[in-house]
Amino acid sequence: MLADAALPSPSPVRARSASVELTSVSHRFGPATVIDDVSLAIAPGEFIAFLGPSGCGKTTLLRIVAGFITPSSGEVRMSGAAVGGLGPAERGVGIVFQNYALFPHMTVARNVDYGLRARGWPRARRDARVREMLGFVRMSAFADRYPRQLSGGQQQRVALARALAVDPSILLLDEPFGALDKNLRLDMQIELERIHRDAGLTTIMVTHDQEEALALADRIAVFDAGRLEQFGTPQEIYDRPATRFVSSFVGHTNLLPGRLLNSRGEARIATDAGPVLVLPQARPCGRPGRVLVAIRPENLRLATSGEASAFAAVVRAVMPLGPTIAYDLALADGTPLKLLHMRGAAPGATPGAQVHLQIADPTHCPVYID
Amino acid sequence: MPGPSGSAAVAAPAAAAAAATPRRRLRVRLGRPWLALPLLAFFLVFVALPVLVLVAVGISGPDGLTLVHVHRFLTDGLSLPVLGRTLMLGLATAAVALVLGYPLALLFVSASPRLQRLLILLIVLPLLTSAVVRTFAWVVILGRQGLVNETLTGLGLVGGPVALLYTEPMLILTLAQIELPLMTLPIISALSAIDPRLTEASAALGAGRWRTLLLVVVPLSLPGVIAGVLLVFAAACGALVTQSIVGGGRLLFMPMYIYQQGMQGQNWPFAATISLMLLISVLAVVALLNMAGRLATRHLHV
Ligand SMILES: Nc1ncnc2c1ncn2[C@@H]1O[C@H](COP(=O)(O)OP(=O)(O)O)[C@@H](O)[C@H]1O
Ligand SMILES: [Mg+2]
Repeated sequence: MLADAALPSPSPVRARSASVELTSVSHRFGPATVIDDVSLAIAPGEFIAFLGPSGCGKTTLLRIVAGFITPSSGEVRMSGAAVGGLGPAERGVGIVFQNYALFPHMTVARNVDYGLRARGWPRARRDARVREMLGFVRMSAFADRYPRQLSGGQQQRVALARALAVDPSILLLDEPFGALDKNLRLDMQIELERIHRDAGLTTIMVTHDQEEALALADRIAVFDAGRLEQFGTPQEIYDRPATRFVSSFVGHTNLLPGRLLNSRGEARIATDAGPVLVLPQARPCGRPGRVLVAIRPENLRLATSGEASAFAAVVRAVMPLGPTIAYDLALADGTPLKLLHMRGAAPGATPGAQVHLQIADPTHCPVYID
Repeated sequence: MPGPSGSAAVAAPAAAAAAATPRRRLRVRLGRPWLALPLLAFFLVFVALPVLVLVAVGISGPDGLTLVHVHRFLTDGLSLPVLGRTLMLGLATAAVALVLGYPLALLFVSASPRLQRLLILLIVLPLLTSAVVRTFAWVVILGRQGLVNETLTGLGLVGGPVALLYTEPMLILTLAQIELPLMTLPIISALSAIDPRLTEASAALGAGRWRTLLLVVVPLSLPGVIAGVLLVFAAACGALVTQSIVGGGRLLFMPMYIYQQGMQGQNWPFAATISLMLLISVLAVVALLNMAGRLATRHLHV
C-alpha cells in the first residue's frame, strides 16, 4: 500500500515522554456517572489502549487526560505534577481526533504548520519542521492539497503529523482506525506502531476493537460502564481476565455455570451441564458456591479416542474460518459451547457426530463468582 | 435517466418524443424538476412578468420604443447620486449589522441551551413585529423629545435636543437593527455547523481564543456572513418605510424616488426605468459580493 517503502527516516519526534497518573478520577454528566473512580499509572513511553464497548466512557476519560474536561473529582498528574486547570497545550498533549479534525480551509502544510505558528516559531524553522513531519508520515507529495482531497488514511497521517509537529510529551488518539477500511487499517496500525517505536512517545489510544488493543498496546485498560475492570499487559488481559466482563469482552469465551465444591487444593467444579471439571486452582474466585468457569474456544480440543474425556458433546455446526475451524457444540443438556482449532491439527468431526472434549490448558480457565 | 436530461426529451422533436418508450415518458413526468412547477409559476407571475412590464413601460414612448428615460436617468445629475447613496446605504447597513450581528451569533452558539432559548427569542423578535412598528419605535427613541435626547438633557450633558432623527448615521443604525435577524440567523447557522473538534484541535495546538476565532471560526463561518450581508444589503436598499420616516424628507433614496416619480409625478415610464436601474444595480452588487465570497470560501466546497 505504501508506495515508497523508504528506509525508515530517523524520528523527528524529540519526545520528553511524560508519565500519567490518574487518582480516583470520577466524572458525572448531570446525574449520570460516566467515569467511576478510575485510578491508573502510565509510565513514560508506554503505549496504552483504553478498551471498552461504545459508551463506556473512553472518550470522556481521554478528554479528561487531555484537559478538555475537568473531572468531577479526582486528580490527574503528569510527570509527577498536578495538571488540574491546565489546558491541552500547556499539558503538552498531542491529539488525533476520531474524525481527524483537520482544518478544511487550510492545505496539508498549513495544517501541520498551525501549531508551530501558534507557538511563534520563526518562518524558516517552521518550514523545515513541516517538511520534516510530512516526510515522516510520507505525505510530502500532498503538502498543497486540501483535506477534502485526501483519503481517510492520508488525512489520518496529516493529523498525526500535525499533532507530533509541536513535540508533545503525550500522544492521545481517539478511535484512530475506526473510519478506515480493513486493509488500510492494518497499514496504519503498522505505521502507528513504527511511529511509537521510533519516537518512544507516551501514547494513549482509545478503541473498542480488542484485536487492535491486543496487537498494539504495551498495556490495556479495559473499561465497562465507566469502571476500570482491568489494567494489564495483553497477555494478562487475555490469559487471566480479572472479571467476567473482561473475559467475555476480550476474545471469545464459553461461560459454564456450576458449583465450586472445595476451597483448598485442586478445584473441583460441578457444572450444571453435568461434567465435573478439575482445575489446578480456582481464580480469581476461590470461594465455594455458585461460579462461572470461562473456557476460551481455542482452549478446548477434540479428545483422541482412548483419552479421558472432560465433556461429551454433539456437533451442531462446523465453520472453516481460514486457518482455524470453529465448532458449534451442544452439551448433553443443550448448553452451547464453541471450540476453535487449527485446520488439520485434530481429527475432524461432522455435524451430528458425538465428540469428546479436553481442556488444553486448565491453568487458563478463570473462575468467577456467579 | 436522471431528471434534468429527461426533461430535455420533452423539448426534443416530435419524432424523438414518439420514439421514447412509455416508461421513459412516465419517468419524465414524475421527475424531480417538476416538483418545482408551483415555484416556477409563482416566479413567472410575480417576478418575471412584473420585470417584463417594467421593461416595456420603461422603453415605451409616444412614438414607439425609446431610450429617452434611460438617458435622462444617466444624465439628469440627480438620479445617479440617489442610486449611489442608496447602494452605499445598503452596504453601510450591512457592515453595521455584521459588526452587531457576528458577536451576537458567537454569543448564541457558545451559550447554554437555556440561554439559547431566550436569545433566539430576542433575535427573531424583530421579525415578528412589522417594520412600521419597529420604525416608529426608533422615532420614539431618536426624536427631539425622544428617549436619547431626554436622557442627555436630563443628565445635563447637552444644552438642548441633538438632531438624531433625519440623519444618515441614525438611519443606518436603525436599518441595521431592523434587519439584524437577517444577518444573525445565517451566521448562527454557519457557526453551528462548525465541528467543535476543530476549535479543540486549535486549542490543543497552542492557539489562544483570538487566534482560534480569527484563523478557524471566522473563515469557516464566511458562507453565513456572505448570506447575511447579501440579505441585509438587499433589504436595506428597498426599505421604503424606514428610509422615509427615520431618514426624513431631505434624505432621498431610490424607493421613495420611484414612489415620487410614479405616484406623485405620474411619470410611469421614468418610474419604471428607475426601478429597473435599482434592480440591476442591487443584483450587480449581490453578484459581486457572492463572487468574492465564493473565492474566499472555495476550499470549503472542494
Ligand atoms: N458532553 C456530554 N454530555 C452528556 N453526556 C455525555 C457527554 N459526553 C458523553 N456523554 C455520555 O457519557 C457516556 C460515555 O461517553 P463516551 O466517553 O463518549 O463513551 P465512549 O467513547 O466509550 O464510546 C455516554 O453514555 C455518553 O452518552
Ligand atoms: Mg468514543
